[in-house]
Amino acid sequence: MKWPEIVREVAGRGAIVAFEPKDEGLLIGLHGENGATQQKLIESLIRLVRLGRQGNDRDPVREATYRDLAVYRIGDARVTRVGDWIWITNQDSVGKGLIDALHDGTDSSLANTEAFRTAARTGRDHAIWSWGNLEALREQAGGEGIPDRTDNAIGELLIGGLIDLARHVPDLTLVADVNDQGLSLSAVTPFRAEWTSEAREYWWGPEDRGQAPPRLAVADSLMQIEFHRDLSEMWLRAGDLYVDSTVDQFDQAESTLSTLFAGADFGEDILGAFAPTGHLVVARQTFDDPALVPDIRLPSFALVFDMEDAETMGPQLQQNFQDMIGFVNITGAMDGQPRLYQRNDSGDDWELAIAEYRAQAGADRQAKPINYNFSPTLGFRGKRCVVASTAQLARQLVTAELGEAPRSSADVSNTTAIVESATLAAVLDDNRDQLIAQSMIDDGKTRDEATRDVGILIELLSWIDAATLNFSHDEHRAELKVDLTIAPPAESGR
Amino acid sequence: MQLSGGNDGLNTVVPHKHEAYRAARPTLRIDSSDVLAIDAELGLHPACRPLADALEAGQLGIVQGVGYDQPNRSHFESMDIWHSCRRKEDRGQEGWLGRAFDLNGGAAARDPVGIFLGESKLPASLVARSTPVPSIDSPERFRLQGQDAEALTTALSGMSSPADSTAPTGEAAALAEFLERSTGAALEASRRIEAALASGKAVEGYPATRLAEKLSTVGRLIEAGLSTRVFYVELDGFDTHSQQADAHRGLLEQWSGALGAFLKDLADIGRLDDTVVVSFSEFGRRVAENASEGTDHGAAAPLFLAGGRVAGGLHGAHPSLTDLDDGDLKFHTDFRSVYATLLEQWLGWDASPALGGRFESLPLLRS
Amino acid sequence: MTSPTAIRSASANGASNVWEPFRPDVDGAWDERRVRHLVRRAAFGAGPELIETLVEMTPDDAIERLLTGTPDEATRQSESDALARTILASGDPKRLGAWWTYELITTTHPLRERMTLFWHGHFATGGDKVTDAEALYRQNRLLRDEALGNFRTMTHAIAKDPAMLVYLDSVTNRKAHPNENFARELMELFCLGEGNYSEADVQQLARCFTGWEIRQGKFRFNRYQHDDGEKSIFGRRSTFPDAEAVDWVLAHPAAPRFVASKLIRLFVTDAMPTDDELEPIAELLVEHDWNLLPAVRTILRSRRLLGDETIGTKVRSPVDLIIGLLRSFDGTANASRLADDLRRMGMGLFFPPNVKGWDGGRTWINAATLLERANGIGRLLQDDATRFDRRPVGEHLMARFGDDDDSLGKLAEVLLAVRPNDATLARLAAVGEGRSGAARAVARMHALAASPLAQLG
Repeated sequence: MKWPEIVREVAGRGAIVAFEPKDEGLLIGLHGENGATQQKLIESLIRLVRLGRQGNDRDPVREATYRDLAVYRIGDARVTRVGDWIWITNQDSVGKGLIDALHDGTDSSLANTEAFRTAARTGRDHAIWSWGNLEALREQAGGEGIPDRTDNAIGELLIGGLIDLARHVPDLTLVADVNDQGLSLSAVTPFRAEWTSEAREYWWGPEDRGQAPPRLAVADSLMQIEFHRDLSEMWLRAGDLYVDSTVDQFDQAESTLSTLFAGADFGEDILGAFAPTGHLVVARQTFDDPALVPDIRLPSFALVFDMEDAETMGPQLQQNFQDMIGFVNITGAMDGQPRLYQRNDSGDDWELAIAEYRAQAGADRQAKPINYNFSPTLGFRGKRCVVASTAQLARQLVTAELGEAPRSSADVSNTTAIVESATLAAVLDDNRDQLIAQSMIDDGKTRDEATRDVGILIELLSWIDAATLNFSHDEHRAELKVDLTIAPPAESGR
Repeated sequence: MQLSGGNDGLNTVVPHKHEAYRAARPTLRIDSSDVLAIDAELGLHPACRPLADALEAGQLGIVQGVGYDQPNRSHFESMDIWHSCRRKEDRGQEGWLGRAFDLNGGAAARDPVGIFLGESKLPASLVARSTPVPSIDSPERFRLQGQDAEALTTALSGMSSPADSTAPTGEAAALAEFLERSTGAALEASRRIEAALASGKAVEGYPATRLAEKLSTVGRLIEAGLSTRVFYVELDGFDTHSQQADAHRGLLEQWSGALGAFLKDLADIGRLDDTVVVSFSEFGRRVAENASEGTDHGAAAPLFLAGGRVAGGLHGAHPSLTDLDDGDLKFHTDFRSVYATLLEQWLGWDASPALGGRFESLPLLRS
Repeated sequence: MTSPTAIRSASANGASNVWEPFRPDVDGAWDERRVRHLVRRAAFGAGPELIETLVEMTPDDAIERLLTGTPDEATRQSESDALARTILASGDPKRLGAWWTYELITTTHPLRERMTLFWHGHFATGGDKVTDAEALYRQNRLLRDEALGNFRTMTHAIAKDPAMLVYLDSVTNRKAHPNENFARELMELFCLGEGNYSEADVQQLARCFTGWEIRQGKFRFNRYQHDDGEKSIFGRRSTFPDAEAVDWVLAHPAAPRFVASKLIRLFVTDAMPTDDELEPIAELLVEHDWNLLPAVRTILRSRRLLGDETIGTKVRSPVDLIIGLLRSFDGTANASRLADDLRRMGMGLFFPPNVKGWDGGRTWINAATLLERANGIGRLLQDDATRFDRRPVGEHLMARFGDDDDSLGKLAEVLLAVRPNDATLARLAAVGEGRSGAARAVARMHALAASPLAQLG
């Protein structure tokens, strides 16, 4: 049976998600077309969980009966099937209340509230939907609210704009659809131009029209993010975006960075030299030289930007890059780190400045340091500038073609992303020994137990193909959409 | 308080009128109209308002021209010299305070003699051979945790095993008594700290910085009556090679803001007169600024003492701005003399063995 | 067979040898309580199965079992090496501490592990200064290989050990400027103890180690920097070629007494051993040319160690307390979290406080470390990763001890060297009141393990 079929038979007639804040009770109901398939799914799930059990372990699944219904308890979740519904909850009280209500009938169910019925009409065409009143949530959070300025620079860069929205949107509708490829989840809110703050113009772009660039074609890609962010503006507006202590850190960082960039004004001259759109690319890397295969194999990562003035900036950045590698070599040598050797590579219309490690003669050390994951590289092709952790990725990116512009229902896609699960599984597989050792030491497992657990994790990942994300908006609504494409288990007959 | 990275002494205690200063610092100089006046010639950096107030109140002493012979301009080496009072060739593991702890019964003390409040490695000055010097990253570490904390405190407090048939005898009995007493004392100290923290009255007024948070904790530990003699905190980031102005202002604001609040806190709990706060850095910076609007590693610099019983005002002359040693200010006061003063006059300990030689005490404290 | 040494010292002192073997018929019953005392001192506690096995054996056989470990030891050792090599990839000495913690919890040769830890404190080397995790691991291997082997071999290896020389700032040692650090510590901390040498001896001995250098993480003898002139150490004049100086230091009469004293303090008492206690052990070391096994065996078999009056007379180190607790229940846990907690309690593995190692005894105890002990035990017992005999902690406790009034007393017999009186037990049992069975059992165990008497071993 294919996944779409399974999903339709298990939850094809809709689903319901309810949260009861007082007891922190969560209730999920899946309304399917085929009770027998539902029962099979529950049983497969239980088998999978029991697979992870070790010799003397207690059975991780506990079975009980309540009013003649079989109830399974797996960890904190209670699961039962009633007709063509699967019900999952985290609280006994919620589960019992539900079963009582189904048996006895009651008036106080969720379906009888007006707000719920309204939202239900909106989401009728979708497999799963849910609706939230954010005003009520904000009220419940008390006067605290969302602070004006943050101390989390990475968080601000990633979701700064969403914070603007969270401050104002009255409600949010979550919608899930099942299609031939898998699942699609989307959160939709209203959008008003006046909700975006001036300080976050760097995030939204002028007139909120900041558009993420099309995706680059990259082999072995693990994750890619395309975005509109004017980093120079962000840097110069740090005082409006961040709390004082973080601004102090920016000041100190600026002092250090200016040293590295030979006295240039980092915010204005360096960051300002780039266009406000870019790509973050993470990809699996392979290792050619057996003497330089690190024990822990990290993926490579890179930033890709367009330069505003490639003719002046290119040579200057090259110079800065060389200075920086020299600096790293000198400070690294004091700690006994291996040194980076520099070389250049070029093609028709591109060039790379590469710094890489070379195998050390006569070194009989057992450990291959984590440094070997890096061959920092700066690449140029026309306006495009690539800063990558490896030459391998830089070489790919400097010539990579842009794909199609992101598809979305709205005008402007500010941020898009993709995570490729198969590559993630491959990266984990590259580090299987490390993961096993980690599970032994951090979870107190034996080698056998750890080996099995890691195997299960990697197998589970192979069930998912990829997840894509797109944040887009037009004049009236904003949407955060996640598409999950699923690769069904190759052979389900075991 | 260790100001790591090399604080620019010249832009902290500023000879703002001096021609040589103005000429050496074309972009970084601080103008006479901006400084907080100490006397006719010198002024504090405008970010040091809380220190200017302390100076006014006679609670701040500025020792000028502190350093040592043949200054080393490596951060690590110079900091090691300040920590150990020894040159590399004849350095052991211990620091000057660690040695002093060992020599003055630190190993047997009820409360730790020295406490480091920080996340990084223990500063070498506190390293001792037999005295345990704990690093505490937050006061949370100093109390029983978890949902049973209260019941546990009750159960473990004032525990003693009355003699009955099963009671240990001999060596085991003596050890049992020692452990029961130590457990009682630990819980008592923890209770004092918690009570002080819970009252929360003096904690107000601290700026929202990590350094201030640590000093506020020190205030609570002092208030709780710990017999600890030395609390050690660090503020890093003073290595301002380029674009110094904003970074240095921010650092001085953090330092003086936290220190000012701490002094006020101590006054509120009535402990200002038995606390002295020493702020030092491994070296000052060069007189002339560099081409990146920053300054490079230098030598002599001012050192700051604050508290109710410090001799307020300036100590020693400002080092000459024209008679330089390879572009750096010359020291006239050996830092070990400051240490000797603190060890002998404040802590009441013999200074020579800790410092590895005799150093003259200075009139920096009031009796 | 009675050794001549034993006869001589017995007659010289005009008293019986303090290290006479323990005799179950005369000195007390060979029962569970005594076996628990033995494994607390010689290993890190033991689970019910091993306790039962050892009770069934004669004392001599039981001790032999502890001294040799289990037959599958070689396989386990290679697995442990493989794990260490994987951990070394991070290059972080702290991860190495987590690895060792894992080893301490799971080892099938706990006595050798205890000796390795002891030598780590003796030849203390710290990851705060030696940031090369691999060098630290190699030193650890060296100490483990000789843990119950030969002290002379170990000392010679340490003299050329990269981690040690880096720790003592002796990576270069030129004849124009002999580095006195290693020479001083060799006499003061490793072999003789203070007061048995002069400053002149330090200076002369330092000349013997000139040209002993570390390059690229390896030992190198730089003959151009070695001072091959005549030196005078303890009154003997010689050029002391090669590593002869190490042997000459070990030939000093104070050396066997110094090592004997540390071995006795490891197993028997926190107090300074008396001459009567020192001499026989020192002589065993000399007689067997620094082989450690006979001395350790004699101590472990003795009435002095196994007699009633020795039970509960040592302050337990953090490792004794925490690893002992886990091993007594065949437990497993998050080792990296435990390594952090041990460090907070004052016993960071690969992070001794300084070259002198841990002083032990009462210096383990102060306000900060006692609170860390109590909190560390609480975190350990509450952590989901912690299992006793593969089951959740509370569940295991309920199954094994039940939750009647006597359950805490039964737990105390497993966990504590000295049984608390009923009033104390009642006080501790009040912790966790109002909670359900398993949660209450965990809370009570926390209270018991954090109590003053639980710190005794």
